[in-house]
Amino acid sequence: MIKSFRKNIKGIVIEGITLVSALLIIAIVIIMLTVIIIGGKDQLSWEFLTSFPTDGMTKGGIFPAIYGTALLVIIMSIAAVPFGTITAIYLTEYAKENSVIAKTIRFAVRTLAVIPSIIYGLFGLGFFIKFVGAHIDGAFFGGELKWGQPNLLWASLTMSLLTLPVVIVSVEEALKTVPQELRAASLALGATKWQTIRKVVIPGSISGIMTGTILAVSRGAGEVAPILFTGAAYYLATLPGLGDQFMVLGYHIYVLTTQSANVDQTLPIQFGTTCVLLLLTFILNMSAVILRYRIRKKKTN
Amino acid sequence: MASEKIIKNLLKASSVIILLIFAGMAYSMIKGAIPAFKEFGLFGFIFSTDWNPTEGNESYGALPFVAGTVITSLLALVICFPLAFSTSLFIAEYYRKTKIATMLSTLVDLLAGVPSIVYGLWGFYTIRPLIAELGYSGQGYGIFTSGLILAIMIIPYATSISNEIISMVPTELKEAAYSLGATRMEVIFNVILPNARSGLVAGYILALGRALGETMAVTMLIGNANIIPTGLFSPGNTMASVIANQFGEADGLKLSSLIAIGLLLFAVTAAVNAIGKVIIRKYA
Repeated sequence: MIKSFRKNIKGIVIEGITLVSALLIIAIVIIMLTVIIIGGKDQLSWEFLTSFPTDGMTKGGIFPAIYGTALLVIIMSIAAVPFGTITAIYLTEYAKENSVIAKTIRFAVRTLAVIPSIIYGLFGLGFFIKFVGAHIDGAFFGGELKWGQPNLLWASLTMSLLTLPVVIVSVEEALKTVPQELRAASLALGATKWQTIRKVVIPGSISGIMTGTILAVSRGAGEVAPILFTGAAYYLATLPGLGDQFMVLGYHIYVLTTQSANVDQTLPIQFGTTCVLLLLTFILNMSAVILRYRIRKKKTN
Repeated sequence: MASEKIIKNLLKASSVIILLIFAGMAYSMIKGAIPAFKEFGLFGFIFSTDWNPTEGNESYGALPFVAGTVITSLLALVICFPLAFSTSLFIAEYYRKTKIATMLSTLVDLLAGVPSIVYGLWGFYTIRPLIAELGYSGQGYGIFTSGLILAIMIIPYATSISNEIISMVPTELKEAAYSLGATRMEVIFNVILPNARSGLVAGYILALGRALGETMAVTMLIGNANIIPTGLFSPGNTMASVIANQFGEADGLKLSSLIAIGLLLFAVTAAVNAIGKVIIRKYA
């Protein structure tokens, strides 16, 4: 009797501990959101989103940073999504599970997925800027420095390398939810393999491709480390083109917090920018979660 | 059927580009790191504590940064483990399949999507002043502050992997134990834990891999002192944050040394993740 009572107490204590940890995590989230929202809410206005910084970054808006972030993720997606989708299609539809090439590609994708983002920055500078860019300058601009320096294009391509594994993994997951019977039926009707993929497999996994894209965009919008040396800039008076440096939300937060001369004066802008970035990633991730939930549901049906 | 074959080869060719990117990355890192390794020797570089950019006396070593990275990441793991593990017991065992568990695991997933820089800003304005207030370190920068924020950052990964592993323990086993009169606690300790142990170990190793490479938040909080940390609240520097801080204006031997540090970081994270994956594949 006494023994089982003791056991009971212990059991209740352990359940209590799990409850406390769950609450602690919720508390951390709430504190973090509260601090950021309270710090930034007075900034959030249409004007903040649509105007340029003024008075040495202490006033005005963050429009160039929003514009830069948008261009960055668009160019990144144009590079990463088709390419990631093709690789996923090759891996699931064509390559034999145990062939050397499929195994090697999978190994490369897995490893790329865990490489720290700062390493992509190193690579982007070394490869895109110092190698590709410098050669373009040498070949077409007579050695004049044009593409051999940090800019929007190189930063976007660096970011696309980082997000490529995200796309591949999501698309592969979606391709696997298309039932084998559908493929077999299409082939039995005389369709070729490529026709089957184009008309049956890809339409059936379009939501997976979208999830992958959204996740990649959300990741790309928030990462700072890969673009530190490949194109992000502190302040620009004009909107960037492909060959220019650019402002971006995450980097804006970083420089204002750590490198501006008057940190206190830019405080509201730091928090305001963080609010915008957080809102953006939340919306993107939430839609990815919903989409993925729908895919999983379809899979179990 | 010629066109079918062409398409297949096209797809194959563009998939192979991934391999080329991977090889290109490895090659350019190794090539960039060679001057530093040549100058200081492989082990000389890894185990030297010098970081002296004065011209003529240039000497670079990776040990302070390796130490900073390892200590902050392990600290993060130690803080994260009890929290993530008991939360996943909550989600995957005690309140399994209830609304609150689904909500909590969605929240945790969303937390995983918060950019590093946001954690950095929050740590900078909330945790750092708190540490300073408590009098542990002057301005609140240091190993502990970074480790704490890293722990919060890896909680989502650790929790969702633990959730998956714990919910994979066969229901039959648990039911058998209950039918023998075991209490829930006994089921957790005698059925779930032994079955999930290796999966959990692997999960936390993967979370460690995340912590090792985190850059922005740590850079904002660690204090950027190129020394081997002397205590829990001492400032330091990690491999990722020294690159973030100094790569922009580096050249010559310093540039090569920073790339060499990047190569070390690359190797360490790849190895840690490979170990985690092997354990998962072997036991889970």
